[in-house]
Amino acid sequence: MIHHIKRLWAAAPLATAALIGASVFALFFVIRLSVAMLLWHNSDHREKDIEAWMTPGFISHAFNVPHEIILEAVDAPVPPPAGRMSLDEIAGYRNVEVSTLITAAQTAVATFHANRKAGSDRGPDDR
Amino acid sequence: MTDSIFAAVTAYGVWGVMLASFLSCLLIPIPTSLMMLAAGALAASGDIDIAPLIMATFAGAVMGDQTGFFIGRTGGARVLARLGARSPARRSVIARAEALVDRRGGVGVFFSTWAVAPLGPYVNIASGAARLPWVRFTVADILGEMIWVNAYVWTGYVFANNISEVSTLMSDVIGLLVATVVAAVALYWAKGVLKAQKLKRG
Repeated sequence: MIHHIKRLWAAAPLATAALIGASVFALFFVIRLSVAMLLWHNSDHREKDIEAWMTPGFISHAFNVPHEIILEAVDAPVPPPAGRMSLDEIAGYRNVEVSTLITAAQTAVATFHANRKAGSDRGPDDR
Repeated sequence: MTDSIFAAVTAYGVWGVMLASFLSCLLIPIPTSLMMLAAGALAASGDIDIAPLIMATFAGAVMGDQTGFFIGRTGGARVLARLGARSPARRSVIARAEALVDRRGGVGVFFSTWAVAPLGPYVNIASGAARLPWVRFTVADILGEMIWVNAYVWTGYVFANNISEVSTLMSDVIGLLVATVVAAVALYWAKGVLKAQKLKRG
């Protein structure tokens, strides 16, 4: 193997350098992918955090919460003045910190799911 | 990285993704694949209409490829002709490369548009320079770009709920594919040199 690489190197150093470089990159991606596969196995396949780029529509879709609840929580202008708005843009429009909106949306999501869980935990006799 | 891609797609929408797909087919390194994933996810949540998204991105990609092809055909062909004029040995190598493109060029273009998309722009320019017939280039290009655009947009659409995770995974897959193809081409090249030297000696 080493002997073979040495022969290639002597004949075509540039091509051999490219070969070694590309192989190192390939190995790097194989390692990354293996780690990702392990994590994928343990993941619940849902977005974990609400982020500034997300739109209220995306948050309601990804976190399974009715659209109106998120719109209300982040005080989104309805209808939006110029089409789709991210939390970042809503924060600029309302002149508040985007972190405030992220926290508000997180609270709304958590409250909605907690209420729903409480509702489904109760048996039919309790209603 | 992923965050700024998502932010750009949210801000610029269909036109942003179309411009990215046009420019990324012209050697300008823009992560259009990941932008298409993000746009697909925003289509799932109702923030972007999916039909115009797919049509615009497809149109941008084909226009970018065609531009690259004609750049290669006008500029590249002249460079090749000048290189060939200086040495007969080089002229025969160029002739062999052109014959290879003529035999296999369509297949190369087809796979470079979607399976190893980051290499696509080089293939476009090379096929123009090596005089791949325009109709064959265009048929392979259109079929390949249809796969590229639909695969990414629909993946984003279906996996909208965990798009951050999926786009990291996809960028690693793309990286691995590109590195493997580059390594294979380099090996083919080095072996070719080795063989040529043996022939010379023997």
